[in-house]
Amino acid sequence: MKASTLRTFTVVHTWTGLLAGFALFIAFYAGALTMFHDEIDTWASPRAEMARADTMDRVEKMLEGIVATHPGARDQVGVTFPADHPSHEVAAYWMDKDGTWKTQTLDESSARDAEDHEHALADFIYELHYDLGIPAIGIYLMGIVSVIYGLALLTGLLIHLPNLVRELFALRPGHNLKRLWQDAHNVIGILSLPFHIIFAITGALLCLTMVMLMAFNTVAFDGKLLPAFERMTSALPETAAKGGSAVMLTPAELGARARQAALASGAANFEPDYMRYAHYGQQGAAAEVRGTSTKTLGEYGMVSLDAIDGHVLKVQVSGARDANHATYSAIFGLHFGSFGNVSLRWLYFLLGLAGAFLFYSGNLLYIETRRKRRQAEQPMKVRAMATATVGVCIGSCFAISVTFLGNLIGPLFGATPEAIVQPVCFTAFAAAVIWTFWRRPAKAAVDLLWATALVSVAVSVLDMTIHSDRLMRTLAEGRFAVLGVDLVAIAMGVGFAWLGMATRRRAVEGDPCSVWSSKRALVTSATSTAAQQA
Amino acid sequence: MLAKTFAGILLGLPLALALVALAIWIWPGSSESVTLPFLIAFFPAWTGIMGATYLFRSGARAWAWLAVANLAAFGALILAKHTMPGL
Repeated sequence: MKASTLRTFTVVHTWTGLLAGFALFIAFYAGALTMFHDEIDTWASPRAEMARADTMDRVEKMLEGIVATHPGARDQVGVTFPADHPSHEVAAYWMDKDGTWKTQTLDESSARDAEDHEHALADFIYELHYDLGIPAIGIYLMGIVSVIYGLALLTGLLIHLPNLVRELFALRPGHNLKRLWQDAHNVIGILSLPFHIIFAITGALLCLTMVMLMAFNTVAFDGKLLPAFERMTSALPETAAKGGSAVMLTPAELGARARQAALASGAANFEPDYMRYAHYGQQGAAAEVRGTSTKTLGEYGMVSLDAIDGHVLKVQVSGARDANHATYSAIFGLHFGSFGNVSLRWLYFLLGLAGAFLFYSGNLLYIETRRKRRQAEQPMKVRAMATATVGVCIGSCFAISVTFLGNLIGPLFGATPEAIVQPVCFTAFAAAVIWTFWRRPAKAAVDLLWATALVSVAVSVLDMTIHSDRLMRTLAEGRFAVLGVDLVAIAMGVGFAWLGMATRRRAVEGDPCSVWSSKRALVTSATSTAAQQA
Repeated sequence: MLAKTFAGILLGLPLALALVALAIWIWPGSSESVTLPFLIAFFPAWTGIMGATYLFRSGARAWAWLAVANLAAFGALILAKHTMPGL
């Protein structure tokens, strides 16, 4: 490659990193935590956990009521199966005649808008992952970020290509800090490249599929793609209501029959998690049961059945599906890391944290590359980058830890977690950013890392104290989700404390001609004296 | 450099779309059976075109060549639409 081309790609890599790096840091940190969404959810709702006895028996009655009052639900109404984490409610979903999505849970007496953003802790962290907590447009923003991320990966790989093999395992500690950060950035980037390629592609797809489909539908397929997409991703054949009335098989019965059909088709197993009826209560009614299977890349599979007599219409499960269904399912499997057991989730968790480090180290390299080596006062863009990196990156780690704390102690003062997690998180984040401006990044980084460490450990210790009975009960039952969250909180607290110590050492003992040095004022006078003497 | 960037974004997008759609249309056998696997290629194709755009000697050349490529790809797509069974 020509030197000028290499330089061009370096500039592109820098700019794409600048544009997408901050959002990606938050997405990867929150996404790593979301690998343990169900465990965090169990941890976050100690009371709901005790009241968990939802059965599918009451679903039938709820569906009858919904269909009677909402004609739109008659065309199509979906319902979730119970899952073993507390904020997952058995709920029905349908589109009203006016085009709005409605939902109703077993415990509610009437329908409400399905698009609300009132989340409990685990779902809120998940939302941060895919839309940064920005309603409506956040998800499209993250889709664009995913595309920029893809370009950053491509250019990063091309820049590093000439030295790739020679420096693959190079990690050179020593006086040249920039060298060390560069090596760390490269080695993590290269070793987790397959993981990052997966995320750049599936991330863009998950956020922008509808936009992409509409473009293809209009430009290239004359309106035939959207109906075809429905065929390519569902197992429900085209059905028509034939009027009259009919008694529907229950979700439990349909789920059992779907599982039977899936196992007969070669799936290792099949756990129904969602189903939908078409033409509920009428002749010609059909149902589609979605379920998860193990030992496959794409865990989701579907079986459609006649909702009146229960005979199987179509099967699209692992081992018996076409390329479209397998691809669609694989997108989710690869993104959510659901194609393996708990060790795969740990791997995704670690790679997620490593990804966050990748974007953080990219920012540090930006600063190191533009550092003035002979003067304490650093250029504006270096100071701005340092402030933004500390404020946004470490600030979001701090804010997420504080959100866990708020979820834990809020209920003691009568607040519901759904009402407080978002304001607590955003307030803590704003405070961290303001703190960074006020204290300057060198000192603020140390403060925020220590604060994050302290809050993380406090979350764990307080949970073990306040909900000690719950911890003991779950352990006696052989369930380790609660203990796991507590231990990981301590481990991450220790990690943040270690980073805080290293950062403090850098501020005190590091090169004074750096934005990371805390003894700037002192050195400025010392160097000017030295300059006068010279 | 900025001219190349925008060429890659603005002309790379329709080019990637046309190339992927063309591949689906001219697939021997049922186009519908391979539609989703091919659609996955859209974002990587766009990214690849954006990256490759920087290899042009100047922004004007990037715009010109990408415009030509778009015309060719959409011409082929229209031809395919009139001769192939499609979805």
